[in-house]
Amino acid sequence: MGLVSRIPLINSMAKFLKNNKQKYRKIVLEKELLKKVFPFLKTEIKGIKLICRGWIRTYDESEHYRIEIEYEPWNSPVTHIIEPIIELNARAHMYPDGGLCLFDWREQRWQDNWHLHETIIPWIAEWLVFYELFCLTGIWHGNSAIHIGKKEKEPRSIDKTN
Amino acid sequence: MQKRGLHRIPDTPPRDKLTKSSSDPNMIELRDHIAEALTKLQNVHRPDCNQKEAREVWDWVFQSEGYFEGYDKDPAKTRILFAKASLINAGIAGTNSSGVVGPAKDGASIPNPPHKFYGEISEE
Repeated sequence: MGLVSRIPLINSMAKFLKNNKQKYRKIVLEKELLKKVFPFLKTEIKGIKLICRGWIRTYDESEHYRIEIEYEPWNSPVTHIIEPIIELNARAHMYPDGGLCLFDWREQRWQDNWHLHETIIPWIAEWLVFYELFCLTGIWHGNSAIHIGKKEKEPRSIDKTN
Repeated sequence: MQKRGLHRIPDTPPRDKLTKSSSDPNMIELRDHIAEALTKLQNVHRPDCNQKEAREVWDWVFQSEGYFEGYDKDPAKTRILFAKASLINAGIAGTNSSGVVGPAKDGASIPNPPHKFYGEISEE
């Protein structure tokens, strides 16, 4: 294989490395911001993913919920309540795998410059308030986007290899 | 010394700006809703009206969306959660460093950005 024929391969490897470097920078930034703003969250970097877990509650005397956020730039974060086990209910804004439906990605897709501490964490806190109200009243009191048919997750973003 | 009973209201707007004609669409709608509410509330005056029926009527009048139902199960929790939900829906909620929603009144909490939960099923 001549040097000229190897150039496209070298280019694509360089792009791959550059993209991973950007992803890593992003998750390090997110980790630091979360540590500063929401110290109750334990964060861990696994490869090019950020995993956050922590206990949260809706008010002083309420039940504790253990939340988990998995974030891989540049995709939408995946969020779950891992303890206690919450029974799947589409009316309570959950995906079929139990993930929380926190925002209407059809209206506004996850943006690369969004931060977890400014969006996902406050939205999980809201979700819990509305979930507890839903358990009490059978009504979801939060602002909801209407959809018809099967609820689908936001498609993964195509890697930015520039 | 100011004379009693002679208070003057300064800059009172003209009377015609404060009143609506009987054919104003908002007034017609208001009258219709009041008439409907009064019809429903007549049930409360029935001697055999039980608590459940009375609740349903007041629930309808105030559009309480399950408040009474929640209140029966856990009054304190219902009060707290409805208050938090009101803050969120009014766009004035924030999340504190423990992840608890409250008023976004100071720099101690992150203001909750507006969003819609995805998604309410209208048809399957």
